[in-house]
Amino acid sequence: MAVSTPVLGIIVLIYLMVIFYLGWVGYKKTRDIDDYMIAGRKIHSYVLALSYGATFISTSAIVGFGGAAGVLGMGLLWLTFMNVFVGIFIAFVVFGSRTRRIGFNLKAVTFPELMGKRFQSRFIQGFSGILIGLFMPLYAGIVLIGAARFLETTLGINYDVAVLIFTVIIAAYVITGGLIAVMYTDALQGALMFVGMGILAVLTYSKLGGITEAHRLLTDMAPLVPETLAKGGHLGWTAMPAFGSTIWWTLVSTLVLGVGIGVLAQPQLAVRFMTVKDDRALNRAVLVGGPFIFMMTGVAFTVGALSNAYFYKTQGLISIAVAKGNMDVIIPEYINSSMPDVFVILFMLTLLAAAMSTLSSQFHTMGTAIGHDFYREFLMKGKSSRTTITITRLGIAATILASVVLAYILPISIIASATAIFFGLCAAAFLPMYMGALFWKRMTKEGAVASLIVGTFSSLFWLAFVHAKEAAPLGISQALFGKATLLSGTWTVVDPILVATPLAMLAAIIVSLATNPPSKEHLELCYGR
Amino acid sequence: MLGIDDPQIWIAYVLCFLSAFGCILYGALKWNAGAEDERKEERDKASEYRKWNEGPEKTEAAE
Repeated sequence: MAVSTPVLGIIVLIYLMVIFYLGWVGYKKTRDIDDYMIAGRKIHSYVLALSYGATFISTSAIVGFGGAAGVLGMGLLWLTFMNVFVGIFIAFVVFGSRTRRIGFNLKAVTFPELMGKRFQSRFIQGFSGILIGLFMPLYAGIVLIGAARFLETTLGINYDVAVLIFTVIIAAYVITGGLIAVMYTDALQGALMFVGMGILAVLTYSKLGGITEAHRLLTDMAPLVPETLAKGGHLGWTAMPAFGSTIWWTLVSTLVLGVGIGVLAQPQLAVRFMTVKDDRALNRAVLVGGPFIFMMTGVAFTVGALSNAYFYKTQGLISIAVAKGNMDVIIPEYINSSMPDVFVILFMLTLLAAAMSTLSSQFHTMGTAIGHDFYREFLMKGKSSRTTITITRLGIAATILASVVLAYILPISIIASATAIFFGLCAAAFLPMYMGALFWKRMTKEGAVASLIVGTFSSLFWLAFVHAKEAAPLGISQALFGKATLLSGTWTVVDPILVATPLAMLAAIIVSLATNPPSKEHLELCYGR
Repeated sequence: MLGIDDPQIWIAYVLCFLSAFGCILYGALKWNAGAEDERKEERDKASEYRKWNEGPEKTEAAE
């Protein structure tokens, strides 16, 4: 890259100063527990939309999934459609409105607390809290690694030092400023991301001769698909993989459905619906959120796929060959070789912003899950001498430490699937319970507990014993039963979400119908009269 | 269409645009919806708050 390190360093420094300013604003505005946990329930609709979007989209969505599109092609655009339709429209209009209302009625300040209070169970709150506290560091760990690698390569800092610097910066404003600081910084970062991705789309299409011409170039490259991918069902970068093939299952079950539906039950996103004061803010946020997500994943996936056409035109190679087999390098490689220097800087800030906005929310959610939901409400039964904010701050510090440790020890091969693992686990464990809590008054505490347990453990079981991508490297099945996976054939590529979520839903329905319905008074308290 | 032969892909491409446009339309049409009854509702809730503040201790202690 031709941009000098000092110039880039100064720009990053200015950016960080603005972030610190917003963190300080958050700190000044935080007066009570509602402010710290859910931004006082009075966040502006634009801030909500950008914060939701920026949290949703991390570096792994742009670089990781964009790189995946460079290999798998434009079939990933189905995930963009799911992201906009399910992740924004359904999430805000169908889930958001009720979450906000019930959260307000029950005075809940976290996602586990919303579930716990709706089903009158401290166990649900504590179990959900510990589940988030145990598994979210995995997800935060990968985002942290991505961000530190970015600092390492662009600013020439040692990787270990980069992890520490980055963590300290984010920890400082999350711990002191709470969710107000997180959401304000998210909004700024979201705006940066929107501009960065918009320019990337325009420049890419104009370099390749316009929309139709660019797609035509890529379509004509179908015979260049490497043999190994073609055997797996790959039919070209502008075609869906062969129906039922290995690549088709990975694309449809893990990427499109796993991430597309999994987003509905992400605690760090669901809690955002409780940060606004009325449904109007949610409606308005749809207007900003839809185009925002479209610009993020839509552009990343299209550009990822089109990078093949660019590299073939300029170097006679396809993207994965240019990236020497590492799909995570496709997007950075494409940006560095095709874009003007000014844009390279802007895009690096875009990535930094994407990583920071996701990490800050993860830290906040993990901290509240461990400090408030698990320790204070479950272990101490709500009776603790310290205030919720103090305990949450300690929780945040503890989970940040766990993420940093993971960032140091996680091997590369496990990292790639960590996002999908977390999304899938959330969908199985939380989605049936969350849906029941919002829309099915007949759902009982026992039904919710059953669904939480069945969803969690069937998902973990499928990961450890059936889904080859995780089961094989984990080696638990190999050690216990002498074979890499318990089932064989297509089952080994079916994502846990497709098995565990329906099972959890079934458990919720059967157990709820077999137990006594919740009292009328409690339901009135939850849903209003 | 759009230089893409497989309908499964160009449909997805078009749907991405339509869904984003749909979100803009929805937000614009509902720009002021959901606000007016809110103030009244919040006043109602304020009284329920007080009830809840006494209520949950009893409910949860019974567990």
